[in-house]
Amino acid sequence: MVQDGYNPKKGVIIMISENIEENKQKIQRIFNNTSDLILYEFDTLSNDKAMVVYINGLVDKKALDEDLIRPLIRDLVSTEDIFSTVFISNIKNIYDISEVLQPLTDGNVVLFMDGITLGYIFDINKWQTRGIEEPGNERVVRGPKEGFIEDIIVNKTLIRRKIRNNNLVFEDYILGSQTNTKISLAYIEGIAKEEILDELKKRIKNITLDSILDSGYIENCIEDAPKSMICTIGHTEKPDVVVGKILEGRIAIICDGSPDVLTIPKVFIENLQMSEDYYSRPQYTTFLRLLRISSLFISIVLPGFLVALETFHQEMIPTKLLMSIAKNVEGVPFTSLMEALLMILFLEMIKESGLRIPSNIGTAVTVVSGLVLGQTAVQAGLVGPIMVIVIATTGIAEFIIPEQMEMIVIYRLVILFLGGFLGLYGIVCGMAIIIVHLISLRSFGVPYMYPIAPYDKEGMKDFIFMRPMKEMNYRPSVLSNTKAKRRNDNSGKE
Amino acid sequence: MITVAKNKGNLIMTIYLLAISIILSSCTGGREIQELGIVTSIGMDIEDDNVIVTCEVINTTSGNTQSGSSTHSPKEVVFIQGEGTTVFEAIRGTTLNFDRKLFFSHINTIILGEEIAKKGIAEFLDLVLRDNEPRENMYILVAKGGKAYDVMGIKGDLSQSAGNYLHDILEDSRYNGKSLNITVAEYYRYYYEVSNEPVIGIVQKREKRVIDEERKKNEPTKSILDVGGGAVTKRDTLIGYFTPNEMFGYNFIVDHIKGGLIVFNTPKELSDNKPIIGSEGKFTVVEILKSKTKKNVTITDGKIHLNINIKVRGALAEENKAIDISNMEVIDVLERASSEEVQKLISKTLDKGQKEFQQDNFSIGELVHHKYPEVWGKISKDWNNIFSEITYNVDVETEIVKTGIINVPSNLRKRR
Repeated sequence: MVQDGYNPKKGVIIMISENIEENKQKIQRIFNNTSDLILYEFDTLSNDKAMVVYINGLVDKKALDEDLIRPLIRDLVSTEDIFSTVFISNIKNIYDISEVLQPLTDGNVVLFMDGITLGYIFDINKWQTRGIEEPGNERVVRGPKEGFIEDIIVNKTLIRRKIRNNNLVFEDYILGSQTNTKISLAYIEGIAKEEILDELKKRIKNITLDSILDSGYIENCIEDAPKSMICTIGHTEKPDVVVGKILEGRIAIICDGSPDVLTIPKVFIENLQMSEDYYSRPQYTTFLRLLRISSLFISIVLPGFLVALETFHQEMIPTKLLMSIAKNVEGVPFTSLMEALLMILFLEMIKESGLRIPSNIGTAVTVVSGLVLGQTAVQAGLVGPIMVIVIATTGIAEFIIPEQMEMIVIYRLVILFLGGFLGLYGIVCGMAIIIVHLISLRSFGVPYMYPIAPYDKEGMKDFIFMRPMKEMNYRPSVLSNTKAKRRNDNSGKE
Repeated sequence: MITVAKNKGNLIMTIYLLAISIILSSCTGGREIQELGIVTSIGMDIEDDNVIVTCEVINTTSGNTQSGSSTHSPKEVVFIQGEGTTVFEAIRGTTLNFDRKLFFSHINTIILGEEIAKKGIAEFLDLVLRDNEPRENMYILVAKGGKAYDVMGIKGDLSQSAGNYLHDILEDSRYNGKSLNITVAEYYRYYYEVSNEPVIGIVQKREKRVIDEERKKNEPTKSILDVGGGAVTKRDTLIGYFTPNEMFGYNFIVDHIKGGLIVFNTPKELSDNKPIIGSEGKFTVVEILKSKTKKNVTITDGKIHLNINIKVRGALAEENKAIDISNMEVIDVLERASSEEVQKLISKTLDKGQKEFQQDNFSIGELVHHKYPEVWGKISKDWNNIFSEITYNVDVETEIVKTGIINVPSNLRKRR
């Protein structure tokens, strides 16, 4: 009669019985006699039999005892007086017993009384969450330091506290037939573009995964180009970043259990924009963005470029540099492509082990990797020092844009092989393909290379050469609904 | 079905395009740096109708360039010689006895023995132009009065290799103006230029006193190189040389001056004027900061006349005579004297070109060609003879803009 899982639209309606015993059995059947489901029966003042049902650990025990059970036992004179007896603000009625599943897993308490075919849901949930800390992945010197946590309610508050505006809308969904994960879209009505919103809702409804454990699951399902290496959905752990994006017309997707909040649509330049850019001087920001874009380029191309030069275009290396390279690689048994591959392999191994290693033996890895692999490999004549320098440089450059790390690592290898087999010709071909791919990418209908392609003069103000905030009067036209002035404009406020 | 077929067609096309782009590009056959013998300078000589090619190759086994222990470092370069009836045969011949294949893209200088220069340079340079490895920005030089390989082994005191040494002293011409650093590409530009006969740089061996006491015991003298002067060619054969001072004039005429010193006697007239107290008969040196030459030809009554206009901005660099530099009239006099000196230098060179070589080394014919194309059509065949006859005048305007950080020479200053 009751199926596994829960489907609010198709589920079979099981009416709540007047008999508590019967209700008890039904609920236990729905929950397959799970041990953490507590069913507690007691008598009220009016000598009615009552039963509270809740999941152990999800409810505030103190509130349950003091505000719900105590008034019922002490003061309840009639079953009609429940609302005026208990000290709880959020109460709902249900008639269908299969509807208790969702509230119970949310940490609500369901009350059944003998003689009435109603269930009462009291919202007194409380569970252990991580405190709000500074996200380790996105540290800033200046600006808010708080970060999202795994609890969706807290995350929503973090956003709401920054946009005190009635047009900020949270739209909740429940996804995953097994996990029933709570998802919430956050956007500002009137600023978010409706086509993008409709498209997003359509894609979210099409998610067929039975489990959502992190926002990454959603990201995979709603991406425009899942086969591309470039991620077209932004994610961040910082509320100020999300709020900034929402205010530009983007839509945030908050997923319960994940501190990473997704934002769509994403354009290329968001990889180079950090929250701090807007808190510091535009001149310095311009410098930083130039640095970031050049390090993006360096981290992809440099090893392939060096290998191409060393293998095919020795005439392009300045004479004195060539002399020193030639002296250094004298006796190195590998071709430069092999050298580069070896060093990249080392780098990736160091990176991966550094991430996974227990912190108390982390120093060992640092010593071993830095000293043994770097210096000794050169002394042993395995690789030339130039190659070590180049790979180390790419490693550093890569960490400047952590959001696109996956893309950088893979494309670097592609460019390396192209450079090793075809020389600069291969690199140029590879870069051309990458650039064409970047330009052809769309994120929810928004061109990925906006505002270069298509060119937008207003958008260029927040591109590499950043203008002062005062001059950024317009929201990105491809993202937002109205081309409203960002400042001195009340369209988002009524 | 249709879409599948279309996709398949696209796929085949893509693979086809990728394949041909790989095959048709000439980017195949990479060579590792470890397999290269990097040549930094090349010399060509001719002996008994055989071409001898000498290559200076970087010795990559001379250890990592770790600082400190450079006292007993092994040889930085090795010299390879090949012999053959042509240049390329001689070069390829080196693979018979040298363990690396030579790599010619990094040649700094090409040195031609005097005999080759007398025989004709062009036939030996054909390979340099034709082959894809050598770059045409290498400096071309004639070894005055000797063999190229005699010059090549001489290593400067600080340079890593002889080729570098030669390259560096050629680059220094911007401080003296008495040598000519001309690349192969530039040589050919002048070579192809209508009516012009190219001048190329020279290099010769000199003896140098050894100053270092420790070294003096073993070798009382040391050979060094000197690049002052220039080799004058007729088409591609060597016919004579310019001395360093004539080269200075040459560089003025062709507007090659980047710097240099104008040294002249301090004018006598200054002694008669008031500001003068001290002795006389000394020199004044003006350092050239900037020099600009404009040439112009005019034809009047069928006679070609050449006007050379030179503007020199200079700094008074040295003054031996006790004159008052702070006086503007004195500066005027010095400027005039300096201009006269430049005039003298230029006349000497031009006269030598007209009288001794009887050919146009200064691209004057081109000026005529541009300005009087009809006349040029008639005279171009006989241009070298006509050039020897043309009249010229030189206008030099010197402007002394700096006088250094002292005003009055120390021998003029009053005692305290």
